Amino acid sequence: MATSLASSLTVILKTTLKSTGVDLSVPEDVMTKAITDILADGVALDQADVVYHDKATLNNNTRTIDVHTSATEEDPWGLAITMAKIKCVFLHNLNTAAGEYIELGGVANAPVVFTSSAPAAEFPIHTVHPGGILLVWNPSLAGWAVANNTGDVLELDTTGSGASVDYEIVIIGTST
Amino acid sequence: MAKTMTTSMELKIKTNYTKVVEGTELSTPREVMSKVISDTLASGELIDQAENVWHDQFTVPVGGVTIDLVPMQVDAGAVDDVFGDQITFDQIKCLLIHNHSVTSGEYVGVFGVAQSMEFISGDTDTIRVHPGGILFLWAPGLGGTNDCPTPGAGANDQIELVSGAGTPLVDIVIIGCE
Repeated sequence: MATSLASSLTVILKTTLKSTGVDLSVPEDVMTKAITDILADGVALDQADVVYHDKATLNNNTRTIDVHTSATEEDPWGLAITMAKIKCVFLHNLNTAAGEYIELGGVANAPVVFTSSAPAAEFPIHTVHPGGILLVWNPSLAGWAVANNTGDVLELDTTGSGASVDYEIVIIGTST
Repeated sequence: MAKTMTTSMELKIKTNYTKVVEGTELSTPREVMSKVISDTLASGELIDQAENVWHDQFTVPVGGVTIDLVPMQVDAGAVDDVFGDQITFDQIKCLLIHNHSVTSGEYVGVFGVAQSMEFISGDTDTIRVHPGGILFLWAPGLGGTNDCPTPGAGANDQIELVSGAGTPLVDIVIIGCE
């Protein structure tokens, strides 16, 4: 079954910092950082051809997402996910209550989105706090490499917070 | 100097995933995922608030750049906010790093030192922001309940940036509370 994927990303961050100590004026600094990028269909630089996305609840538990030859995860067309490179990981913690965080990582056979100089003993973990977002975007030719069985699992974990966390996850990558 | 700050963020990820199905010549099935998030931070030190920002654009050498958050320094030199006031972050609500390089190999390794700001767990753990890449952290929660990074002087208040090759140009934005 032939598929074609077009991906786009927009991030707009704006701050308005004002000084309130001047009587006859209001000095202000407005910073607008806007980034837009697209990934065309394919497996090369600035390209991607596989997407996985999900919205789910993880209740004081762990969940593994195998992005290479997955027996359990499917793309929107019901095709088994098979990624060779990751170009984007997006994770959004939908909870707002204090302490209800979700962790990403922490397993030995993870793709090298986070690197460790001591991978045999230290498996990097990132914490997405309530209302928080993690976005990592890598349009390069190499992306983050996925290795079958040794570097293909993204683990989500809410046992640290003990909470039932609603989250959304998007993973964009390439098939080869 | 008294200041107020407002912050807004908008993030959109969209994928348009089409497939060719034999026997459907007159249509093109497609799956469109559009994830849009908007959020704001009012001025202050509480949940959903922030009160200062530091932003800069610079090149990162192989030897690295060390940013200290408590108080703000770049390679041990003091840096101030745009109004000339020293910044001493004690909560981080947003971190954005954008690598402008388009040259293969010119990634920027972030963190990876014992005094790193809370982002990933281990002292030697890093994330590489590759050419054209983005690292975006949004943590609107309250530091007092450990719902955002809370840098402490000499303990976990550094952001180390190290180039893998060349001198990639990066934009960095740090939003937080003092």
